[in-house]
Amino acid sequence: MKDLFSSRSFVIKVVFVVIGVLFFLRLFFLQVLSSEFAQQANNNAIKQRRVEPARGLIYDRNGKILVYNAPIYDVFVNPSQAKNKEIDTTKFCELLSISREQFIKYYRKAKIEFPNKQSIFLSQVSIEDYSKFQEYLNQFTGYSGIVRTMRQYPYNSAPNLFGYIGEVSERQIEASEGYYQPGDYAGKFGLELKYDESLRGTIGISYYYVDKLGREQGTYENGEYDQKPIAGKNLISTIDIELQQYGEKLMQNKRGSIVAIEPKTGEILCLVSSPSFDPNLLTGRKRGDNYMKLLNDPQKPLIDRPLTATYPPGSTFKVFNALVSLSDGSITADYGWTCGGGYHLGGGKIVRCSHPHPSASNLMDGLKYSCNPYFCGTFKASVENAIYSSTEVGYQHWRNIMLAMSVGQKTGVDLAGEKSGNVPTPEYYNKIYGKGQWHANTIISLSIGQGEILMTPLQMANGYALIANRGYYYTPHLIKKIEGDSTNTLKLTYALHKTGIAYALYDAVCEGLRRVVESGTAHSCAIPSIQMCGKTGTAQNPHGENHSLFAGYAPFENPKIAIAVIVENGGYGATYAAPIVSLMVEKYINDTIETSRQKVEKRMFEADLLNTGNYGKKQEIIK
Amino acid sequence: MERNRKLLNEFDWVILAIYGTLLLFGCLSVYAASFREVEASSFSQVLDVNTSFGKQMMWVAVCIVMVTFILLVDSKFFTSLAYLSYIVSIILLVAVLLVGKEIHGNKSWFGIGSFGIQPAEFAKFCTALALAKFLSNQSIDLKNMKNMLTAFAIIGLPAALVLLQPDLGSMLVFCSFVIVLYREGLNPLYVIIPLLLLLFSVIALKFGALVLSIIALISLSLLIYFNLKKSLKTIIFIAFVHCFVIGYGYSVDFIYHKVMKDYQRARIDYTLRISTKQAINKPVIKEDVVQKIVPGEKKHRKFDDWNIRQSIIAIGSGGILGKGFLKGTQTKFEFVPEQTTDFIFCTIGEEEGFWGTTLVVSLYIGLLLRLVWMADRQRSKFSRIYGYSVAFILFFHFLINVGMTIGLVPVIGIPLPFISYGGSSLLAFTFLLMIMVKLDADRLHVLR
Ligand SMILES: [Zn+2]
Repeated sequence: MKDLFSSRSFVIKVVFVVIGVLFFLRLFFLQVLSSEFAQQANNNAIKQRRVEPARGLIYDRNGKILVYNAPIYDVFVNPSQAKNKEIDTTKFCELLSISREQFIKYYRKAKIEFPNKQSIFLSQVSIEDYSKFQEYLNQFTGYSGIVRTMRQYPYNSAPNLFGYIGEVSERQIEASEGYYQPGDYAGKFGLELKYDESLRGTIGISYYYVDKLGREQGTYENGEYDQKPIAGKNLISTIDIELQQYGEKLMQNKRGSIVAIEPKTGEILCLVSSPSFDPNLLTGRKRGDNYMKLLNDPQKPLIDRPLTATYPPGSTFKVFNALVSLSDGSITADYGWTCGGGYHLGGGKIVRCSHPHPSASNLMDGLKYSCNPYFCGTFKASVENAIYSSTEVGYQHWRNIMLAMSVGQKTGVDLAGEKSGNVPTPEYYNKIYGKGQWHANTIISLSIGQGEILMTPLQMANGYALIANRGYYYTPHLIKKIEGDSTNTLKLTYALHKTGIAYALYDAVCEGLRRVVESGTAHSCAIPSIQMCGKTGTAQNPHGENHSLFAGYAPFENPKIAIAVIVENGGYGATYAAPIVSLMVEKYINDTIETSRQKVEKRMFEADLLNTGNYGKKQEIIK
Repeated sequence: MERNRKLLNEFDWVILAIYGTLLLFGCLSVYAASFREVEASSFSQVLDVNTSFGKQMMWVAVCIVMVTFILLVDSKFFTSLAYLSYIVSIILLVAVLLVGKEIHGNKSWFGIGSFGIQPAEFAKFCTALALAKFLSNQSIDLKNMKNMLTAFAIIGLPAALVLLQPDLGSMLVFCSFVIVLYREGLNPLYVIIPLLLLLFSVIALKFGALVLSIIALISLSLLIYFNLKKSLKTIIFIAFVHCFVIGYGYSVDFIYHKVMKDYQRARIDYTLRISTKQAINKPVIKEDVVQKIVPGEKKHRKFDDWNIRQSIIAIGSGGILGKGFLKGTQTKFEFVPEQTTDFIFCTIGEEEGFWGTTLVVSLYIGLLLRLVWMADRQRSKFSRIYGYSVAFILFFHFLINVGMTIGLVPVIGIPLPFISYGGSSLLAFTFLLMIMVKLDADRLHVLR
């Protein structure tokens, strides 16, 4: 009996020890031999969050802030904690200025997508709305706010320049090579798009703990492994914001563009596209609505006219034409023309002058009187010059020099969407008239900037910068410096372009342009204290009233500004474009408008083409 | 003075030391498991009786008073109260089914204010006392059918009552008394046959009923061929046994597929490493809803294989040295379910690592061996039987609780003695163990 019991007691002890050893082995396997569990535990509890860096700011040439970041709030909801039945929804909606239907819609969306997690309820609540909302936040269990930033434009100006930011597109995500994720904001247009990589900075990562329900439970290791976001770099632009605003004011109630360039550097001083709008409309929660309104506006404010609208340059083109003829020796500055009955094309057709004037005995007077037959003559002299084996070769040469002067050629400005304009190729004419079947007279309207020839306002300003420089231009640009921290500030350099036309040949052209303002077609716009040079233009417009053009530079000696103005359907160049140019020049150089000229300024401010019928029915003027 | 020292020397200090150590481990683990960094608990909050830890500390204090009381009282007090306490606990088990508070579908609690009392925990040591009292009677012999049935009835009654709650874990603990009977001379078949059936079930579930019947056929044929007299009677008996095994195998299969609920199947699948169609890498499942913390103590039985995986991740991620006290992310951020009660072992595994778990397992095995050794040295049959009961109750809790957290046993909600949070279980286990310590201390004064 005793043996039986002690052997049974032994069996029991053995069972205990066996179980103990079994557990020991299992624990040894789990805790010592296996290594995957630590990772699995971390996957559970440690999450990472991207920390958006502050986007870079944009300054004007004088250090004024043009674009900065203002706080804006996103309201989040955690449906597992929200007690919608208990909260005062009427007050809630009122504070956030949303409707009851929106409240229900947003809440449902959050609840379906992330029932147990915090997710976005309402994005981009203004700081005014949010500060009111925040006072009552403790009554709205489950709701919280997170501060983000929104672009702000203190000058309410130059929307075409800055562009805007918005949610990234699929293409941008792909192109960013892992930087962007859906829902991020990126530059969509203008400088915001072009310099996005500099402006966006570097995303940071912060690690934090979550519990089983995904609720945040504090930072991981006090942020030791976090990667701090690096703020975006600031852009120092070439824009003079005061000049830009002045230009926008002059262009109010008109359609058109102003482009001003500092000739010596290619720095763009202003880039006015009219009608304009407040760039702040395209930020914040109302962006979508505002965007649709602007898109459907018949005056097309979203079009960036200085870069994308192309016009026949009209008489402003005559200088380029003359320069080609001078450069290949087809004419000299003393080339004269008797403007009796106009320029005879044969078959009874005549290119006439728009106004009677004394005959031009040299190039300077030709420009001063803006004599059409004169420039038909120089064109014919050049294109059909005996040094070329055929008209086609002569024209090809003429066209090449045009392209070198950035006529009909993209300037390469640092903004997307620039149009190239047009100088037709010889092949184009071969196709229309047949090879060898066309002559200078066939395409004579090119000589006075009509016909197929098209230029953007930027090209016109750039062309006059080239004339101001007498033979070269720098790629026009808007950003001169990308300012990071002290080590990685980047001063941008832009290409120098030379036309190959001898410096001395510009003398006559410049003198001619000076005489235009002094005593020629734009004499009414002369600025007493500044010697301005320029050329009026009246571009024929088959769809309606002619476009009013003026391009020029100032001062005559040591030019500081080259500028082109187009007022669509403005009529003669001297009517609107020339006075606007003179005011811009005076403003830029003297900083004030002389008393004697303030009546001109007033007239320009008040001129209203939008509402006086000039823009009546025909809207398709922009090519 | 002399007498007091003698009295102190008579207590088994090994058991008292192990008890104290486990209790300390328990307090630290409950503190760690209920600790939330975000709430930044100050010391006054820690001792607040509305927090889990505060409550547990209060219960520890009660336990220390009880230990003192039990060790000072004459052990005859317990032998004389054996039947009475058993009857009271049976009445309470019936009462809890009628008026108990239902928590997570279980009627196992009496709610008193913010506290709860679980009669099943107390019924365990009351049954041990009653069984010891009954078997210690000189005239009782377990070979006698009537005596044996009475013994089974003493065990079966509370086992059936807890099963009605339903509390499967406690029911299994009551079954552990069968092994006590085995120690007292019960035919070993009563232990061997259930174990064989368990083995058959495992084979049937893991490899299918067909495999089970083939294995049975081969082994029984070999048995006939080599060993036994090849009489017709034996062959018929063997054939009958074979038929039974086949029938059993298919019944298990049927119960598994048609009777059990999904979550029960999931637990068995996990334990037996059966890969099912329901995807092995199930994401965080919807069923896994927030468990509301019920005033008082909390307990629910809604586990599934996501929970057990979290438990293993917690223990496995502890490594050799552990993540450090209060540094366990699996427990602190509630990825492990029921971490203060049924899954308290995870907190130890994650924060103290392999050395911590090994220490706890060693302490338990040491305690169990010491209890068996202690039971065997008793002169009184009562003390011996009670000692074995204590050992097996603790053993079953240890086996099921630790076994489930490390994925060796299906998930069955049952506390880890002296460590899990919960006043009823802590108090009941303290009674259970200390009565044995007292009986042992008095063994020399007791007549055979
Ligand atoms: Zn003329």
